Amino acid sequence: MLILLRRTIQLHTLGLCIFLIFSVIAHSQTGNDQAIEKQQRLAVFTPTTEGNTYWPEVHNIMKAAAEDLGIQISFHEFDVGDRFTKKERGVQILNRKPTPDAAIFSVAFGQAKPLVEAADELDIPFFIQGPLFPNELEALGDMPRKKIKNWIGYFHQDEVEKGYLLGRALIEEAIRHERFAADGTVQVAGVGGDPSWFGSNLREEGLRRAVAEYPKAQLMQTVPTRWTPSEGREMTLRLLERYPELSVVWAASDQLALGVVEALQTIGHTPEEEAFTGGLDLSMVGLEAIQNGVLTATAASTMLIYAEIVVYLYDYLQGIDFAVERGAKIKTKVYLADHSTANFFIELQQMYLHLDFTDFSKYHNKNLTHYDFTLQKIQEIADEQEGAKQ
Amino acid sequence: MKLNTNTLAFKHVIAIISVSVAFSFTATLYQGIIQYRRGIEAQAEVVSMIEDSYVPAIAAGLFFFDDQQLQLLMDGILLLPYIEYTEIVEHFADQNKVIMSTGESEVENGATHTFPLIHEYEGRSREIGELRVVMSLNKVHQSLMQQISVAVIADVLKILGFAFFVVIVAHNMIFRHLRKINEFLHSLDPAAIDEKQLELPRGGRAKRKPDELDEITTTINTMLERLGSTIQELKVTQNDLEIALDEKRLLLQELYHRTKNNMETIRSILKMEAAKVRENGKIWETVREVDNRILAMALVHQRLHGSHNLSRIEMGDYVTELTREILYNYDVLDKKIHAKIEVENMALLIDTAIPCGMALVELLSNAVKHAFPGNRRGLVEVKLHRIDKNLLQLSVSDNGVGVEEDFDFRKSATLGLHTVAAIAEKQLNGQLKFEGSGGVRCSIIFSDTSYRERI
Repeated sequence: MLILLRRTIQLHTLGLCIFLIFSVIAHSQTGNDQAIEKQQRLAVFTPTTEGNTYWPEVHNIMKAAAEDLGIQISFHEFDVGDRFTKKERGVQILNRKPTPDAAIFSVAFGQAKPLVEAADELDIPFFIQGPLFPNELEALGDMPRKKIKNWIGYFHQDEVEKGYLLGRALIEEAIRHERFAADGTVQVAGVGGDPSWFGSNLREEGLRRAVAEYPKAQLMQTVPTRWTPSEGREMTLRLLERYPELSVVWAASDQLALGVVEALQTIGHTPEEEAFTGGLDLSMVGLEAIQNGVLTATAASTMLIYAEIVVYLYDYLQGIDFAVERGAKIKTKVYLADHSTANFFIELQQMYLHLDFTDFSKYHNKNLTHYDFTLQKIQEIADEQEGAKQ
Repeated sequence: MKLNTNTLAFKHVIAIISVSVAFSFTATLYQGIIQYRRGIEAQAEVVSMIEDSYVPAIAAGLFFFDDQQLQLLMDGILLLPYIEYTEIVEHFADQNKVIMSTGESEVENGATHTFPLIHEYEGRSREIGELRVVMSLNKVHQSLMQQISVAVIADVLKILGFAFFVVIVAHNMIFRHLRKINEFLHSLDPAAIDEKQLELPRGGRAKRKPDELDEITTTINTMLERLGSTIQELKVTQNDLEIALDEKRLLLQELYHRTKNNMETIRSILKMEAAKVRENGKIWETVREVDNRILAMALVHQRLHGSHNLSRIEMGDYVTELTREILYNYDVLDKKIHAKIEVENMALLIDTAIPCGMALVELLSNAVKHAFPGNRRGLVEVKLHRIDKNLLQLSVSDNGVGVEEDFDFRKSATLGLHTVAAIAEKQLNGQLKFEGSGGVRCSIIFSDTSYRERI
């Protein structure tokens, strides 16, 4: 009887232990799942082209910010040559489970509406990177949070200003080197971007504004491209064949500018001596080309704006609305990098990857009264973080 | 089966086909001209369309180096009618360069149209190149030839079908009846012309109104009945005439026979009377000459009596018999004089034959009397033959002593030659020729058409 009792107690004890062990394991597993479920997802839709280097840089800094903030980020790239795929595939991706908690759309003509409608239907808050064509913007209600409630933010660079700054820099450089045509003018040509993106038109508008400021400058023509360096090269060769006295070839992106450089070198011209070119991305390849003396300048907002948008979205998901301070439409400041500032921007770009972006989040910094993404502030934070490490 | 091209049906088919082909050819030609003109007009429309629709887009495409768009536009132009080749030429400062081309550049009979490519940029028009388009009517021609071929084939089939149909209908309605009529008419026996009636194999005559063929049938049958009556009457008349003719022939033969007998009687009387004055050589000679002349006429009547033809006599037998009789009368035949007679077969009217015989009597008499004096023997040749279509020659020649060189037969006192000349010229309407060396040869050339047949 005792033996039976002891065995019964042993069995119960063993069963209790097994129960406790499984309970702990089960509890632990459930906790992990809950943690994963809580990690928010950000879907980013961007264009791309073959051999593109600009968007990977953008993705890197967004990814760095997302990692710092503890959210999942996925990038969905669509070739600019196939605008229709982006609409269909984008909508499919948004509908795929688990649906993203937030999204950023960088879109060309005709792509915004279906993506926006899909995201709004799924109740996904999203940012649109502009600029959008005016009629498209009007179709969406002109501004976020008006017609479409989940459209929480619209950001874009000052594309006209970018084009203008680069144009002016190139013309001045040509004048400084006295690269005048037989008629005494500086002949300017533009290798533009894809006209299906409204920003391309604005960039060229900036170029025209710059040319208009210089009586000695003459805009021969601009040509559209799909952003690839090979197109930059081909178009430049043909422009030079048509206008042999060209001395300024304005390019709508850094990669196009590198194609222009190739073309100049192909026909025996020395960049920065006989003809001058530059891009509009403030990308690493562009900045390095300036350092190497083949590009004159590159103009754009810094890549930080993309990290800035990630921070805003993150805070928004946590219940802190960036629009209270920044507004729903954000127009970012643009910078011109030339020989004198190229190094600074290169260092800045490299610095982004080492920043802790939680320092810019109001959610993580309850005492933060306003968002500050100025270069000065970044430098300060970078210095503080460097000091803290040491 | 041999095609009979001489039939009405064949000619009918040929006429239908000829007229149809002529109409069809004219219609096809007209259609071809219309199509050709439309092709020319369509070409102008295509040029206008290129200028309005394609050139501005191509100018923009060239200006912006949009090769993809240019290729699409060029391909689009090439799909337009009449376009064979197109190229885009860009103008540079020192040269023109062909940027793009589509189609076959080698175009036969192609016309090149050049469109300046002007693009307005920044408020300024820039001529940056030109579009060259080569058009040709080759496709129009091909299309035209295809259409005409189809039309011609269709027309030929229609014409042949229509002609065949018409011929079948015409054969059944007309030609076979005409052939039947022809066969009927050929089968008619004049001896029994009223025994047959024409009947055409056409059904339902009782139900339909008489048409032309019925009228022809009726007319032919009526005509045959009348013809039968007329032939019957003619037969009676002919019979009467034949009886009358036989009677006339008998009477005439009897007349010739009696005339000849009378002449023989006259000759006998003459000879009996001459025998009484035989010692008077001149009278005897005169009687013999007259006898010979009567002989010549009597022989003619003798020949007519024995002949079926009562107005002509065969000259061969007549001349031979007359010659031999005369020489016999002079008792020289085959003794002193040999006769050689050559006469072509010919039958002359008695109006010609009698003068011929009279002349022959005179010439033979002369030869007997004068050609062979003394015991001289010789040959007399008598010939009568045709020397031309209507001309005959009667000649009498001998190998006797002949005449003196200065002998003129017209001045000679010999009665015989005067008589011969008179007969030759007045009765025969001919000419007398005389040759006197190495014997004598007298020829009379005369026509046998001077008299008409009277019986």
